[in-house]
Amino acid sequence: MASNQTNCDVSSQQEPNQLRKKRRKSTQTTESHLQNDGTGEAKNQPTVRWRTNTARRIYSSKLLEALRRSRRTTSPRGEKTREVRETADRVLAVAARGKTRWSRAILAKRARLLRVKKVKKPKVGCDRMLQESEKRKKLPAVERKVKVLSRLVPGCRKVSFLNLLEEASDYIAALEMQVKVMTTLSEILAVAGGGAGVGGGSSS
Amino acid sequence: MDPPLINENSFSAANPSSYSLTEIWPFPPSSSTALGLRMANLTDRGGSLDESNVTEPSGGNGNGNRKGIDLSSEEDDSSKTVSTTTSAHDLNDLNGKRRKISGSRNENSESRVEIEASSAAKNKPAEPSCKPSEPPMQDYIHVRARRGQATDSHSLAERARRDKISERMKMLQDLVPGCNKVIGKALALDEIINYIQSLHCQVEFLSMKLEAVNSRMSMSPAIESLHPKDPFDATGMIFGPQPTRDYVQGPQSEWLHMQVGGSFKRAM
Repeated sequence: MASNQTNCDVSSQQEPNQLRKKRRKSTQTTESHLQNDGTGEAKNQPTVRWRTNTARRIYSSKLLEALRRSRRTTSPRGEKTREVRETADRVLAVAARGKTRWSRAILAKRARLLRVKKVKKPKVGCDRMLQESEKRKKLPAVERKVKVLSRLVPGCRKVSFLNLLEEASDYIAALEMQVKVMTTLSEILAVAGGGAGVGGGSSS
Repeated sequence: MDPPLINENSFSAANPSSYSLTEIWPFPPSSSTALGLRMANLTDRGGSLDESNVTEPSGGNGNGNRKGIDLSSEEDDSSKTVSTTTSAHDLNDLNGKRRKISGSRNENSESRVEIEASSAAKNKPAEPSCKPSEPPMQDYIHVRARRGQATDSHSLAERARRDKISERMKMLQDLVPGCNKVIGKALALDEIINYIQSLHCQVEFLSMKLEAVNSRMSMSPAIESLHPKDPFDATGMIFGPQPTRDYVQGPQSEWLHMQVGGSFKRAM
């Protein structure tokens, strides 16, 4: 379904894409002129990558499309509603263009869920974990926090400390952008819903 | 002076594979001290030249020569007294020649030229032998250690790794507000973890809000026809075709429109 969605993205966004592409090109060239040090390293920094207007525009438009599609397809829902959150995370991962570990992990999670239904197998090492907790093996403080951090960032459980820090910085920048876009979008849509609801009968 | 010149000429004409000095040197070996010394000089010259002849054509013998030189340098003390008297007998023996060379080295008075020549001849094999651990040094990057810090390869790698970690921690601290005041990895990591958790909560809250908005929008059919080409244009589309607006909503939507339109710039 993830692949289907990407195909739909391409098909349904052809018309608006033309407008967006023009703007994207102009902003990108100006940004590249500003940021190109000759090394190309400035563009790769997470703060730069996720704070450009283009990134926000791309993410917001993709999110809109995904939300509209999910609205059309699945309206009756009996299970726990985590769909919007997962959609938002997935679109964020797509916007990362596969360069980071956490984005690939988010997309893989979805693909894995669709292929095989989640069956919770009892962990074999569970007894050992209980014994460890009984023995009260206290790791150094930094290592404990590193473990917690690795659990927070998706797909970074067995990653070295160095790479974990890099992934975390990129993830934080991406999350900040996600929060800003979703805030704005919810406001717009709320206003749109309110405005159209009132003036819907008169205008159309 | 003269004898060495003569000897050089004679040696260059001679077959380089022949090591026996007796074949070349016409005079019989004598054990008198004066001649012995001269003999030592000549044999040293011979030995050194022979060695140079030996080393140059055959690179394979280089190791053997190196070992020989090492042995000879070790045997310096032992062969001091032996060199002059046994010079004649050891002519044919390579080891003997090396001992003679070591003997000549010890006889500093007369054999300076020979030493220079021998050292010049032995430069090629001798240098790597004198510093057996150093040829691989040329492949390494030479780093000048800071004062009070080790130059061990392990500690260098450790230092590089620590620098990378501190650089990334600084980047993270710039991202997370309020992390600049904290000193130390553990506390900074605490702040980072808290920040990520708060961001997760915000995303959850906003997703619920969006879902509510979605469900509201899906209920009213008028919205489905709304296809904003761009969220920034959406505001224009929403507010454009509605000239007659409710009085209460009018100023509110204007304010929101302005706020939303400018929020991206402000939020940067």
